[in-house]
Amino acid sequence: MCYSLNERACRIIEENILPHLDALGVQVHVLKNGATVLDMGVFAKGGWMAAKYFTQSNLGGLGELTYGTMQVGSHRLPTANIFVDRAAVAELAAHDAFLYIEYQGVKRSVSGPLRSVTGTDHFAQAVSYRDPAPRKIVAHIQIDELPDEGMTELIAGAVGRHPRDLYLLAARTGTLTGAAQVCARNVEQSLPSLLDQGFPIDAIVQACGSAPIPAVVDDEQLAYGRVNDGLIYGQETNLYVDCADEEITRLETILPFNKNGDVYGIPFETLFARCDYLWRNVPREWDAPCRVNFFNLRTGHSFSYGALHHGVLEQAFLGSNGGK
Amino acid sequence: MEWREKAAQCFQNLIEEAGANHCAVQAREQGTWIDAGWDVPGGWMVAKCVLEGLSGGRGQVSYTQRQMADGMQIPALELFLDDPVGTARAFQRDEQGIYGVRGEEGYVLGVTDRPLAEEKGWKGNVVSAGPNSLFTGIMEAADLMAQCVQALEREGVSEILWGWSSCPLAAMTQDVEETRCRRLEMAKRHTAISLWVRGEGSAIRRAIEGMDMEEFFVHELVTACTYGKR
Repeated sequence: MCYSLNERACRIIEENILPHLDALGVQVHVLKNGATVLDMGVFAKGGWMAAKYFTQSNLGGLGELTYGTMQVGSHRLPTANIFVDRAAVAELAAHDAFLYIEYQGVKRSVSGPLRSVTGTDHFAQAVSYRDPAPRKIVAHIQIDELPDEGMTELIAGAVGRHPRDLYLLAARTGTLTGAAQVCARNVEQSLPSLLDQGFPIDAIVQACGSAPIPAVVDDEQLAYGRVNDGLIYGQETNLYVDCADEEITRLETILPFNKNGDVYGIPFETLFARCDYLWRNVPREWDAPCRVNFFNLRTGHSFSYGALHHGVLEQAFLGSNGGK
Repeated sequence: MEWREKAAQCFQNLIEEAGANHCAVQAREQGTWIDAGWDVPGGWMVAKCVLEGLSGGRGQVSYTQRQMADGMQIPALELFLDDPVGTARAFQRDEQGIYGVRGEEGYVLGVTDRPLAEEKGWKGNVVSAGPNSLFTGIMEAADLMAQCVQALEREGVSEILWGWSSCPLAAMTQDVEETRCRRLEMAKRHTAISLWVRGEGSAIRRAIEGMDMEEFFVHELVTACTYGKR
């Protein structure tokens, strides 16, 4: 492989973010250990463009985030649209948040191209791509406080690097940056589920996906709920694959979120409360894509599994007072 | 300063791309004006470039297709803005009906639907197109979010953080009044605008009720409430 996910992410940071901090609503903190923390929306304002560069660097520069809108019931909602090449590499080895660190008693998930340096976890190891010696490493974290020296040492240390080599982009869910970058995890959410179900990941040629951004609210727990409704009830992923049809058809009842018949239709805010607002208590089966469309290049056949739920999406859009 | 630089860069791009964009550049003693819809048709790209300049490059300006009730797919302007207040400032008209990004010596990037060929009172870099041109239709579609921002500001809501809009573009005719009516209908019935703010609920409601738009929503970040037309 003749490209470096971390170098491509660095270019996005150094050309698109650092020279335009004021316009993007981003703040930069260089810590005592030399780590560079980019506040893309923790205390900084952030916004649409901050989310775009957060996501595109998170993909190792292998894809693009654009915005659009979609009709949901009687309302129009904004959407986060992802187009990604080398989807398995971009998502499993970078975008997916499966590097776990435990810091000050709290377990946190980290995403980003740094996962491809050593193949930090089971999902990064599912692809052969490695980026062993980049100039700098890039990581992303969804968090409501600014990462400090201790946290950056843990993250950089997870791949055997010094914190001065680290760019760490951070945003909390209760900002537009956070909401948009979570909803941009449409393709990202689908691939680990496919891997879990034994689908041949190398058969994925290209991918794209879309999810509505139903809400942005200050309260972090409410934000978790409303924003994740955009994924489990509104995301639709298109996968161009090259495989036998049987590899696809056996996924019909085990892949999409609506397989969870006991909880389908319940807003994620309620489901998260049942898990005491702890991600470690959320069943793995709930982290499933809403709708996936397979287009088989080998056979010309297409298959769609899952369903959007406009009711829950409208409820999230219309807020605590139902839009009145 | 960065906003003006972006606006200046956009105007420079418009000069360089005038031919390709179906526009014409006119140099005058008081500045340069670009005809984007009087003697030439103008079109999509000049309007997109101008909007990127008016918004300081702080967001995404894009076109899409929207399906209407009769099944027809028609074009729409979509804006996703990181500084809707700053952009709204750029849509405030002066006494000559020109709006845009101002500099020390006139407009860095000005816009008007007045025929500048016949007027003397303007100064700087201005893009002009007729009232029933595609360019002006796109500008008027973008102006709808600015009007919503101004409505909120009049009611005392000042913390307006981000916004988005989706406005189908009505087909133009040579009848200026007919074109105007079609655009008003699009604004009232088919345009969706949302703004995220921190502010007082009753003030937000007054702003919304004062706008003749069915799909104008304001999302209040602290209370997690959403306000729309009753």
